Amino acid sequence: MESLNNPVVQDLVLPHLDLPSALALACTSRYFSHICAHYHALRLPQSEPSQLHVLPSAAAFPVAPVATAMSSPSSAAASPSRTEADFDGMSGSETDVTSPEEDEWEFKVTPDMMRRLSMLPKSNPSATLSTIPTELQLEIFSHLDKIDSVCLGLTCSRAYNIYRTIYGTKMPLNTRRIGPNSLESAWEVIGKQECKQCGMFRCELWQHIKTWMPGELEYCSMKQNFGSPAKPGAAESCYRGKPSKPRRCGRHPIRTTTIHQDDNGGLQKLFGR
Amino acid sequence: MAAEKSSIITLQSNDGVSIDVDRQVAERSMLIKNMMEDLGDEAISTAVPIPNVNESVLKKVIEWCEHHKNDPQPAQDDDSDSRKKTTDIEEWDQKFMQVDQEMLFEIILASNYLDIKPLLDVGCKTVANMIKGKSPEEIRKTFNITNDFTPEEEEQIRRENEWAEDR
Repeated sequence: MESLNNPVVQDLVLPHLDLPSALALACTSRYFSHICAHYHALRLPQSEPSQLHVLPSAAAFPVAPVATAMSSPSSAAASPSRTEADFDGMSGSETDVTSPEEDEWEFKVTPDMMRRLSMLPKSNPSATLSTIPTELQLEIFSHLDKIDSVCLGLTCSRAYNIYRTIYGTKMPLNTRRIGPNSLESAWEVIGKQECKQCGMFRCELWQHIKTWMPGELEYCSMKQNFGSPAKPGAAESCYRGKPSKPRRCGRHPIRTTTIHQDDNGGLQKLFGR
Repeated sequence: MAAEKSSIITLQSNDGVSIDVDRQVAERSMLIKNMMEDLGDEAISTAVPIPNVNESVLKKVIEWCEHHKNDPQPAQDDDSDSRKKTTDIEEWDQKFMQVDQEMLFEIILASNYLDIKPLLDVGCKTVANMIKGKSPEEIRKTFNITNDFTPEEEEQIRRENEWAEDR
């Protein structure tokens, strides 16, 4: 998140502050008081370090209404731990070593600075799809149909857990969208928009997750599952291989039907042949 | 009537900025509306702290409330039936939601906190529309989601959904 809490942004902004502004910023929180001390101690004339030692107590001030982007209360809550992390780094007493008459000191991002900044705990999680509260993710799922819910569910484990809570398992791969909708070109007269996954055809779930499946697997519309691809020379598309066997595919003759494996009770191996 | 129109509520964002808002506008937020009803008129003179929302987001939310201040208030109890489950968004709201993703989710979080149901709806629909028709990998890219599944877990998902043949 691009706020002043971000160490990279601080790197860019803080060197440009004059002393009064830096002191004002330092008063906003304990975290900033240390950060400002870190940057500005190097440029202070001899007389002023004593002023700096007062700064940590500035944390006792109520947070003044300064327009620093405190993004959320959690960032404020996180600052005490950051303070400690920074304090460890500070104990190297760089301020004491640097001679005060180095007026021509220029701001440079040194590897050491980056190392020390990287030791600070990460900024608070920002507002993103994967970090918003579960009930809000649920709200978003409520606006999606089954196909899009599966796709969102497959992005990460938290989303999958929410998806699975709503729909359970065993979502058929030939699941379709319901009714007229703007996602399938079949329903549109003006402004036809083809589905990126299904083109001009009605959407089916397998089309939307085929890039998620292992690349070597091929979908069979007779068996409604993914499996080993058809042999060279097989028919272009799936068809009923034998009139008496409705589920046998002419293109994938050796494919088996999938059995459900997390259900220990009623395992039934159903071969199509 | 006239007195109520002219009353102003001061909201204070978490970064300390005070914003004056028409009471009618501010009461699009059920949180503020209920609070005002509970506290009575003398509460109007004090600033209302909104601790979860920063200035830029609060301004954006108020902008939405301004535009929708004359919308009928949604009934308190029925929530799912009255809001149609379509993702159609009216044109002004669509424009309003053309913001970067961080702001979009900040608006969703703020409208949830302030209890502004219609705005929360618009936000979630906007996100839903960004998801629709995309493959899992495309969704990950759009929202910068890290794939934290191990190959074994993905295999388990395929197994429990009966998506791949047994070998």
